[in-house]
Amino acid sequence: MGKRQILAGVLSALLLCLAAGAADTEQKLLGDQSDGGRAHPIHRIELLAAPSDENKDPQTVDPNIDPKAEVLLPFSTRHTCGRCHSYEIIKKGWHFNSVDPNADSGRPGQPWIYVDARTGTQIPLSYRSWPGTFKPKQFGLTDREFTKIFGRQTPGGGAGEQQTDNQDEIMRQLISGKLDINCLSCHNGDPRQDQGGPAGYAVQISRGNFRWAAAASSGLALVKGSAEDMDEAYDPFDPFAVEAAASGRKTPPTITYHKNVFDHEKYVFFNILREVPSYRCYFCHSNFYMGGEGAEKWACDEDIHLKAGLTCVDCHRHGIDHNIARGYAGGQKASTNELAAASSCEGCHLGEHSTSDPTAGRLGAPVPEHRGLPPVHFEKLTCTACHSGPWPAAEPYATKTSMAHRLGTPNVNKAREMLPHIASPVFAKQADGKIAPHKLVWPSFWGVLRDGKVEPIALATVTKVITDVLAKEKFPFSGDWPDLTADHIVKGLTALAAGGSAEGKAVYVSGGKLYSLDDSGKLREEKDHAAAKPYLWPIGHDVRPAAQALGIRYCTDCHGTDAPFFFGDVKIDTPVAVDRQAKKMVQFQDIDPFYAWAFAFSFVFRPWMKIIVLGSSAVLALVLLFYVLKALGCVVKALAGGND
Amino acid sequence: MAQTISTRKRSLVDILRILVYVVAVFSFVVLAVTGFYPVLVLGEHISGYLVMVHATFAPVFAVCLAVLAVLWASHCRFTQGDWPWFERIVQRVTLAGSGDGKSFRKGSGLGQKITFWLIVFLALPLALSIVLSMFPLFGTHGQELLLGTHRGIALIFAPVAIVHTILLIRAGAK
Repeated sequence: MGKRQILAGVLSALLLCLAAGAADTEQKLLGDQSDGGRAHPIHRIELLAAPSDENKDPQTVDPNIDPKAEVLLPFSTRHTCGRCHSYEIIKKGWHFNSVDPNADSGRPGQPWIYVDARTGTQIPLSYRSWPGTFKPKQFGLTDREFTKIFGRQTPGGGAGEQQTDNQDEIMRQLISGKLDINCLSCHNGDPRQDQGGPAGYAVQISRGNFRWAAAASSGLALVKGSAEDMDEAYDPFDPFAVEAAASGRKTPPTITYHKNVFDHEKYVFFNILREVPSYRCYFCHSNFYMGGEGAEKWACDEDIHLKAGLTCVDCHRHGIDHNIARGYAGGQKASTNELAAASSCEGCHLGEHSTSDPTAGRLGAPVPEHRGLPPVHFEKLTCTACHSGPWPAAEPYATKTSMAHRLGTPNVNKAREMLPHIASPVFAKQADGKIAPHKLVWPSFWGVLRDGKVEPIALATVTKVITDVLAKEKFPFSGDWPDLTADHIVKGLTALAAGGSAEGKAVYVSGGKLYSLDDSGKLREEKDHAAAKPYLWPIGHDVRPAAQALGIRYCTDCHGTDAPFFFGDVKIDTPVAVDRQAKKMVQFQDIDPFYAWAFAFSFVFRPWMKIIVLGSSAVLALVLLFYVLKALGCVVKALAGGND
Repeated sequence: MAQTISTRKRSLVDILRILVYVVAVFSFVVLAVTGFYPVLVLGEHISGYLVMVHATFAPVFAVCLAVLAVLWASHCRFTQGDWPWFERIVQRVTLAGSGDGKSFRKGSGLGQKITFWLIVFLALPLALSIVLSMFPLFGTHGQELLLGTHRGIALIFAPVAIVHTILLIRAGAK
């Protein structure tokens, strides 16, 4: 090694140390570090609005301004909350970092599912690198378009505050503003916090009112109008432009703060909750299992932890970095959260073995006994396999989730058949080799086959081409699939191929199959193509109590010849009517179906085996006892004989 | 006449004993192979089809052992001749004379007897440890203990059973 290389190495190490030191000494804001007090934090603060020029200082919101001279702006959480809490640290948190390519994606989670029955589309999207999902960009969605569709059930940030480099969107972003992290989505204790109301957060986002969304939902103000309706020359910071637009047919986004919001110093009181209440989490994380008994909310029990008095954030904790503990076993490998390991099921109920202090029983978690359960189950199954989700039925339940079906927002289609079609629980093997309950969605989309890989065709192209092809079809009001035939697919593929916009072969992926046209123009089906595989993500909740865990009655809860755990029918969901068949649950577990059946069948004889072995043991014990007593008799006799 | 019937009876019992013994040996081989192969060769615990075969032959083996214990126990009981040193100790302790010396008869098949009783003795925890784990009586630690017991005793049981069979074959050959 040359001297230069050594010198370069030393200098690099020195630079790294300096950088680390600098990062460590970075100035902390007032709210970045706790002083240890556990009292309720009081937030009587002034509202700050984002300036028209990002390089300028934020503007203090004054409700008494002259609207002819100035535009009354919505407060910005980035500036209002960011004055005391480092926004740049918070935005690295799990709920906001999906767009960061360096953020560890961890275990696959729930994707965003774009659906359109008119084009036979149901495609899982995610900015995270979860196998089986596609990046929004691959599907032709810009960050702005993605935010408009899915931002409703996010706490802001992420794609919503990406600077656009799309020429067509630069002006639109100036009008809409960026969707800042909405701290109030989770932390606002005000009962007026409106995420899903008619003028709430979700509606504001769909109107493109990104800049106004946080204020509109805070309960402090009312926002009217739509940024999306404004033409590209509209300037939301120009009072004249606002006034001119207001006199037109389409209303520009404007904010009116409620009376008595501001005190005499023009300060505002926020009831900020450090520990987020569970109902705030529910806005984005509700599940609705249909088809089972007691599907209605009032008839369903919630997660046993909530009923025991815990809240979501008792387990899913984080600090100022908002690096929330996702709570699954092994989560610490993808997270720097120091409680990641301790926040899993095992972490609380069994204790974390890596620590020197006893940690079992945190939050009053009972230590499970698992009487009669062979330990091999802990090698093959996750805790959730037996304890989470609804009790498995002959077919997984049709499941709606907030994120997929925009539950809790206006005008939700409540039909059972409404897309996307999510099935759960599906017991499938996950990456760590253990079987866990999952939610499942079968992708359906038009794509291009290139070098054996399928890329989805851009949404705009699909909408234009396929909508025409299927224009004469009947689409159910329920939001269900239309009944597509091979003929429809042939027409669709032919139309897409004729467009010739995409290099490669046009294909349609649906119901686990890849459809394409052969050289003679006939439809060809390929089963088990990687792109056609269903996307599954493990479920953690709702956790059932031990008395309702699988296996509580007998082993045949799972090891029965018709037990849903192995032999439940997972319907293949597709708009192609003839392909709506089913797969057995065991096919998702990498287990030979015959073996699973034979093993289950052996449980028919299990009671006999127990009786036979116990009976044989009793005979052996009696023989042994008999001859031991006899031997003792001989010894006693010998001893007695000697004494005579 | 009575002699003939007695001889016939004894031969039927012998045949039954041989048959049961053959089945027991076969079951033992299956159990040993399915039990030890995954651990010694594959480096993993028994699972899959092997566990099904193992569990199928286990009750057969248990029944055979019970039958053999009943049929063979009397034959395998220890006699005075098996333990001359023990008798000497007893006589010293009790200060009794050795009498006419008849008690120092040479024992026969001592190895067989010892291994037989060891098999009967070890079979109990071997069987009970696994069958009790199938009842909702023991928690995870108890289950692990029972499994460990089953594996540990199987390690002792197997060579004892092999030695017993070898001794039996050798005795038969003589």
